[in-house]
Amino acid sequence: MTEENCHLPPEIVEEILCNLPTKSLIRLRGVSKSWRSLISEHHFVRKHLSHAAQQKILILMPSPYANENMYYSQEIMPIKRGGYFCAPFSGSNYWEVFASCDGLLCVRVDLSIYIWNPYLKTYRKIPTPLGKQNYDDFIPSYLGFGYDSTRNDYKIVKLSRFRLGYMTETQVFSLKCDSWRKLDDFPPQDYRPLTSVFLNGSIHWLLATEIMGQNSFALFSFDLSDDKYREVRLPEYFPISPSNNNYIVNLHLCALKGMLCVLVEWKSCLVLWAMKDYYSDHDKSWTKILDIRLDLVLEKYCIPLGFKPFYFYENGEVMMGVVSDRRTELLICKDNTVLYRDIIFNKPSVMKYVFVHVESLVSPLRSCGKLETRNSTG
Amino acid sequence: MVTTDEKGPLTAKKKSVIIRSCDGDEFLVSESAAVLSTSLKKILEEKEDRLIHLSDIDNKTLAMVIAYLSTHADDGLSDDLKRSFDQEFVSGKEFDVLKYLVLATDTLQVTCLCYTVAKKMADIMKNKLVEWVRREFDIQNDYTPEAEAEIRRLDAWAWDDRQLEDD
Repeated sequence: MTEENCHLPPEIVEEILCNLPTKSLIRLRGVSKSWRSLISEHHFVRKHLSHAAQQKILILMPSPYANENMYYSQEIMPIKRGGYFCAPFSGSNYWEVFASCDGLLCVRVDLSIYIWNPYLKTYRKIPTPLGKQNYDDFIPSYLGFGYDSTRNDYKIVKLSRFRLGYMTETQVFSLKCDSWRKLDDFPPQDYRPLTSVFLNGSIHWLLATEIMGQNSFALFSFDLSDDKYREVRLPEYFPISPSNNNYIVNLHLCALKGMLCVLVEWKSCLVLWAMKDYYSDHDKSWTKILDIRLDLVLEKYCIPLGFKPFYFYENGEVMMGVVSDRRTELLICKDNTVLYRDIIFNKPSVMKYVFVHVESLVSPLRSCGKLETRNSTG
Repeated sequence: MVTTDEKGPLTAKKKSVIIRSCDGDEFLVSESAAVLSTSLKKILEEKEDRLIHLSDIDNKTLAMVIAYLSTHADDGLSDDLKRSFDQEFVSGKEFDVLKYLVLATDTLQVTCLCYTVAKKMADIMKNKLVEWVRREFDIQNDYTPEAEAEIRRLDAWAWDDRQLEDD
């Protein structure tokens, strides 16, 4: 090698560093002051996040055996078993993750909400929402979590709840302001939220209402930058033909590879729709990506308890979580076939608390993305 | 390096470019490979000169970059083969070699190779001691011993030295 040392310009150093895992970067902040400030800069945190999201996803799953631990499985393919996330929240034996965004997990512990980055080992307790709180105010499907890129802020939206003839208000919590504020009522009064998903700056809610004994569904998006909501047309999953004893059991909302997706759970099959072009005319952009018989997905005599697609591969394969009364499985499906299955637990787990998670440097302590020097965990 | 042209009568005889490294060696490269580098493409667009002199890239590094460019310019290779070539290309290379390579990809503006090399370098650095990183990047430690001790104390979980390597 040449005598003079080869000096790498800052943009190359940045390119190298954004490929590193969070733990290594925390350590490398100790290299020098300038590395410390680079690793803490907002644009670096975002760049690192987008690299991580492309390269490595984790699937978080509550263990049916122990409440405090989260099972995680890492690497997209093949499915590898990882380890456990141990909850840093003391004083409670019951906690559940209700949302995951940019490496931050929203966790409910009794009547409190925490935002936690398990890779930074940092969490923050969110102040109590305004007004009187009840246990059922914290049903996960009523809560949404996402990123407002216009303000570089993370927000929790807590939907109004229709109880005893009156509505409690929808409230929005801003991580940056560290406070809740009330909003005009959303959603439409007689709908109840089923699932929420954050995508493209908006939280999307799938809502249901009962009309003449039949479930009717609606999809709304709530824009975190301007508090505006609008209805999004659902895919044309009708007509229901009563003759073949096939009817819709449920609808599930998810985001796969940046696409808004709806899984229609029929009595005898699963159909997954993806909105290929989010910003175009919504009617035409729903595309069917899976149409699979339920007897292929579930083993004989198993009772389905929940389905959740997690990941959409380049080649059109879909990774999906399936919970029945007997076991929890991960499946890889394509078109109308099951290609691969892996039993995760020989017990059912709660599929709605299963999330795709990425490793990130995003700190819950300050939403501007700067890393705090102090850890809030002891 | 120059492969035979199989594109038929429409494309004229494949053009070549000569690239000279800083130690004076010359490499004959097909134009289709050279233009994968944004800077070489610009130079070729601006002047008719078929000889390009690169004053800050040495022989060894230039040969590697050209091997990369020629493989990626080969229409006969599938994307899968190119991907496995990329993996093979960086595997086993020393950190020092990768440093010169990443610098060259920056000069020549070969973005995809820059990403591949940067990723490989990160892979090597992942479990290295901070001291090793300072040496390799030629960085002066500007923390006071007290400040460094404080950093290590606060993020002790990330500083578990038992798993870290110094070579």
